[in-house]
Amino acid sequence: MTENIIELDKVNVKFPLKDKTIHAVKDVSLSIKKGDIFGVVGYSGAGKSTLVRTINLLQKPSSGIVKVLGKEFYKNVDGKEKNISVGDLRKERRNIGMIFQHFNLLNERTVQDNIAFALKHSKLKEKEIINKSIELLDLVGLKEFAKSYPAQLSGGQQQRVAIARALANDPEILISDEATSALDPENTNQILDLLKKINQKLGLTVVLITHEMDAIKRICNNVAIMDSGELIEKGNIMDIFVHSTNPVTRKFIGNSFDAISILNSLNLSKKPDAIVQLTYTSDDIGSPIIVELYKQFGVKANIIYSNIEVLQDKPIGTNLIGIDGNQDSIKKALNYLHESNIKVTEIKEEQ
Amino acid sequence: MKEWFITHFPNVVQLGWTGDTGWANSIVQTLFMTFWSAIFGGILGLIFGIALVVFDDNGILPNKIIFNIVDKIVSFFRAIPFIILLAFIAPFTQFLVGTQIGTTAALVPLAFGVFPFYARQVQVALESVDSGKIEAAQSIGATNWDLIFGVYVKEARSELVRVSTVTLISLIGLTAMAGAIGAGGLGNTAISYGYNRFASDTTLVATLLVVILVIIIQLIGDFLARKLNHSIKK
Repeated sequence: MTENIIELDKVNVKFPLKDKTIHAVKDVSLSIKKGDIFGVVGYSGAGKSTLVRTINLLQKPSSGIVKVLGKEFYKNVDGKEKNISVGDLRKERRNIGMIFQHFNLLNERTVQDNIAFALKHSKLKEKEIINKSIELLDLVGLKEFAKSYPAQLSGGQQQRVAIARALANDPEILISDEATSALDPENTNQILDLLKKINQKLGLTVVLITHEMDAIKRICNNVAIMDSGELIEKGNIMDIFVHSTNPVTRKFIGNSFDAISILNSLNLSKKPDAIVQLTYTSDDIGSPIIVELYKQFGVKANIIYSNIEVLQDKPIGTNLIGIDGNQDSIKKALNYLHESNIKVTEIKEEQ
Repeated sequence: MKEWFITHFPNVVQLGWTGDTGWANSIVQTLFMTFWSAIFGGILGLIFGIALVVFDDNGILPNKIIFNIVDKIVSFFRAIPFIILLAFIAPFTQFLVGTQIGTTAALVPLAFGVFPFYARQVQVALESVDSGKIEAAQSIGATNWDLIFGVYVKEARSELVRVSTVTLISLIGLTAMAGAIGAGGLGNTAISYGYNRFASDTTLVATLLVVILVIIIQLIGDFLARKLNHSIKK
């Protein structure tokens, strides 16, 4: 189960314009394992959508290697371009479902016909196509809307239909391109949970592109962070969340950013000698640290702010504490925390 | 009523219902010309309109050369005033139908007169289809044929009916001019038997008949366009 289902190697995408070239994706290498839910996060214009579109060649790269499902879709490492044939690409695309921000359903077809349209080139007979369409609608909980037109459904419902359509040909990969960005928080969570359910039930590999860290936190196992066309960091979400020191990543995760603004808003009358942010998973807390800090190092720790977030059903704690004591003891205390596998970030007050 | 009509519309009555110059004949001629040139011009316009979208830089098969050829042909025929096109195309008409005059001969310039107009309208209608829908269809492995007829044409069908209505109405306008090459029709009646003979009652009735025809087409077109549109909640 550790086989790589998607492999991107040094992929570049350039858009030549009249007076300049936009380098949308720069030397990105990425592999995604079968059965994974892989998140790609970044601000608008970071190139995440462009990058992921190279997987099914909706976007042709300028160079690099794109290998999906063990087949080489695109290769250009020495200036010589090798493409998969148009017919083969068409067939392979049926193994890669995709859903979009604006759903992109066909308005002039009923919900059921939208799904049947995806099955037009399958080996199924007309009756089997109808049955399969209904089956898929059942999976996404919209069986009773089979004869409705997309415009009669809500945004969340339309996205469910789009998911059913993307799953029509039993793909092995599902790409979600900002699929929850146009939805309200409740629908967003429902769609994300549906993606997770599909991932578990059908063993589908999901690639989730989003600018919302909350979506990643909810369902992804692994994550890649992109900024201005470059891949900044990738890895297990827990590791990234707890241990990443990259400023862009931290900004996305939000914690340290929050900490500073909280600190500023508190307007503490007496400033503690040091302010640190502690991040830890439930596995890391074996001992009562605040007590230990006082007992072992004689420093007084005061909890300013505390928060727990759930990542893949595992709690992650964030504490902002003020420490009072002499510099030497504080140093030792922080070292102790480090050794206890707690991530320590010193917060310098900013205005 | 009948006497009132005979007193006030003597020339209309004199033309009669049947016969070469009769009203039935000119109505049929107008319908005949409109129908067949709509079929030929429509098919031609649809092909050219689809080509303009498909081979466009943002189309599904970008091809500068084909696009430019198609684009220039459409622009060329659109630039020729219809009354001149009638004469300009006469040798080709002769080659195609064996004569340069008459109702059937008029079909050739009518089709060529209307197709570039229709092609442009089809182009605009098809371009109104969101590129996201095309992309979504490509992502499920749709063929180009699926994309053209299953997505572009099908999604734009209400808009296509709307532009077809507009085109059909302007085609009726063109048939009036076809009288110049002896094609008959209501336009010819209004000019030759009405205006030229100072029979303003004939001009009036011919005009009214054309107006009624246009209104009927507009009503049917509007009804169909509404019926075929599911992109809004209703």
